[in-house]
Amino acid sequence: MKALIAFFKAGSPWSIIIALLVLVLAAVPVAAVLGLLSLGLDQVYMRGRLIRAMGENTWEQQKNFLLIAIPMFILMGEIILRAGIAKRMYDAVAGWLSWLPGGLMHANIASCAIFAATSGSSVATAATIGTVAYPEIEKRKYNESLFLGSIAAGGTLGILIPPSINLILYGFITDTSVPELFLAGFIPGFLLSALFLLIILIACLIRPEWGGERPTVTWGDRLRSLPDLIPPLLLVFGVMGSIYGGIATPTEAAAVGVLFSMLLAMWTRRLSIEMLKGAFESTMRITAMIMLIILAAVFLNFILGFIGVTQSLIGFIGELGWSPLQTMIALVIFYLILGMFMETLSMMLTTVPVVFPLVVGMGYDPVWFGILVIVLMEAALITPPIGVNLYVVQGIRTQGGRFNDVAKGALPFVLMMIVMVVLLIAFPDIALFLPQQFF
Amino acid sequence: MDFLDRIYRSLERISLFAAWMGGLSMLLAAVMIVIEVVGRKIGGLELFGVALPSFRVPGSDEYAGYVFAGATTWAYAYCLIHRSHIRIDALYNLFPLKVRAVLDVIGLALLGFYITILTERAWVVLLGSLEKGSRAATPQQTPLWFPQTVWVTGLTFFTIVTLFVCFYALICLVTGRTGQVQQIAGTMSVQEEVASETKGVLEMKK
Repeated sequence: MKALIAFFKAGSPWSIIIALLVLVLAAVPVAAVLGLLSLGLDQVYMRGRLIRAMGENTWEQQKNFLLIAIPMFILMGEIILRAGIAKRMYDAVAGWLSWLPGGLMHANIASCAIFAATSGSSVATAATIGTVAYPEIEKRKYNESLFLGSIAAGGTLGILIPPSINLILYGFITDTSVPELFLAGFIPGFLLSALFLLIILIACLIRPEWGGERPTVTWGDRLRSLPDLIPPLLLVFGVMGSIYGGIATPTEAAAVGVLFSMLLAMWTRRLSIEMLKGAFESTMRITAMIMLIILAAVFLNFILGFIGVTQSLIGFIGELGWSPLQTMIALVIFYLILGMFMETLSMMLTTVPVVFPLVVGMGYDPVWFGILVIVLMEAALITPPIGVNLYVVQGIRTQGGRFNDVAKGALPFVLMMIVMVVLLIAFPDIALFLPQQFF
Repeated sequence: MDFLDRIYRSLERISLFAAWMGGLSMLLAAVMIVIEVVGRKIGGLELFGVALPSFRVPGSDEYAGYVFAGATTWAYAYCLIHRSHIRIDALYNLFPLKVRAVLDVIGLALLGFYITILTERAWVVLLGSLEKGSRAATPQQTPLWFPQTVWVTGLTFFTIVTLFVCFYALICLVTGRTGQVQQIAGTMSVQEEVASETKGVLEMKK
C-alpha cells in the first residue's frame, strides 16, 4: 500500500493513468481496477478520508430504485427469449421484407430492431436473431460476410431502441431523466435501422449475387404471419405506454414487462420451473456483472468530484481554445478509437462521468449527448479487434470460418453509424424532437 | 487437491442456489410493484357502476430496493464462478496459457483485495445500524439491520469465494495445472459466452 501511494505521488496524474492502463491491459477485473483507483486516489489526495463513506455510498446505490429497472428489464428479456417467439417473429418479418434486394438481410435488421424493443441487451439480440437466421445463409446462398455483418450490426440496436439498459445507466450516472432518454432513442433507432436497410439495398443493387435467393411469399402468408408480431408489439406498447401515459416510472414499467413476459410464456406453453431457473441464472449473472462495476464507478466519480479532476479537465480544454464543435468531433474520434479496444459497458461507465460535465458545460443537451454516446457504443460493439457482437456472431457459426469475415461484413454498418453521428450533430432534433413533445 | 475441488463444488452449488433465490425474489418484487401500480391507478375508477377499491402496498419501492440489494450481492459470487465479471482481454488473449494463468491469479488477488475492503466497510455500516438501532427514513421505519444483514452476508460470501478461488488457482498454477486455472479463473472463450447467451434459444428449439 505504501509503495502504491509513493508511486501515485511520484508523478501524478500520468502515473495514475499509466497504472490504470497497466491494470486494465493485464485483464484485472474492471470493477477492481476502478475500486482500487478510487482507494488509491483517496489515499493520495484526501488522506484516506473518503474511504469511510464507502460503505454508506455502496448501500445507497445498491438499493437505488431506478437501478432496479436493470434486473427487471433483463429478466423480462430472458423470459421472452425462452418464450419461443423469436423464430416465428423472424419468419413474419422475413415475409414482409424479403422481396427487397438483399432478401433476408433486411429481416435480420428489422427483427433485431423489434427484438431490441423487448430486450435491453445487444448481445442477447444478436445471439437470438443470429441463431435463428444463420442456417439461411447456406440454404439461400447469401454472401456470408455481409449477412453476418447485418446480424452483428442489427444486434447493436438493442442498446439504442428503448427500453435500453445502457440508457438507464447513462441516466443514472449523469442524473438525466430516463423517460426522456427512452423517448429520444426512438427516432434515431428507427433512422439507424433505415440506414442499415439502405446500405444493404445499395450493396445488393451493385452486387446482386450477394443477395441470395429470395423466398417466395404470398400475401396470404404475410397476413397469416401478422399475429406472430402482436406479442412483441403489445409488450413494447405496454411497457413504453405505461411510462409515457404517466402511469409508471421506468422501474414500475419494467416490473409490468416482467409479468407480461410471464403471461406470454404461459401462452406459448414454455413456462416451467426449469425455464425460470435458466432465466434467473442469466438475469442474476448479468445484473451482478453490471452492478459490481457501477458501484465502483459511482464511488470513483464521487472521489473525482472531491479532487476536482473534472474542473482541471475543463480548464485544460479551455486552454486549447477549441470550439464546442471541434471538441465534440475530438470526442467522437476518441470514442471510436477507444471503442475498438474496450468493452462498451466499462467504456461508458469510466468515461462518461468525466466527459459529461465538459459537454454540458459547452452547452450541449444532456439527453442528446446520451443518444450520441449510445450510437458510438454501438460502433464499439462491432469494430475489431474487440467487438462483443462480432464475437457473438462468430460464435453462432456452427460451420466455423474466419473471424475477419464477420468484421469485414460489419464495416458498411459502422460507416452508417458514423453517418448517424454526423446527422445527430448536424440535426440534434432527431433525438430531441420526441422528448420536447412530451416534457 | 481433491479436497480443494470439493470445496469449490460446494461453493458453486451455494452460489447457484443464491442466484435462483435472487431471481425468484426479483420476480416477487416485480409482482409487488405491479400490484402497487395497479392499485394506485384503479382506485376511484368505476367499472359497470361499481367503484373499484384503491389499494396500496405501502413501501413497495423501499422493499424492492432491499430485495435488489440482497439479490445482487448474493449473485456476485455466482458471477465470479461463471467468470462473468468484466475483464478487458484485448492483450490477454495474445499471451500464452501460462502467462494468462498468472494474470488470472493476479486479477483475482486484486479483486479480492478491493472486495475485502468494501466488505469491511459494509460491516461497519451494519454494526453501526445495530448499535444505533437505525431505521429507514420512510413511513415504514424499517429497522435497517435486517436488509443490511442480507447485504453484508452476501458481500462476505463473495469475498470468501473470491479469496478461495484465488488460492485454488494459485495452487493449480504452482503445481503446473495451467488448464485448471483457465477453467476456474480464465476469461470466457467466445464459444462459452455464446453458449450461455443462446442457451434459452436452444432450449426453445428442442
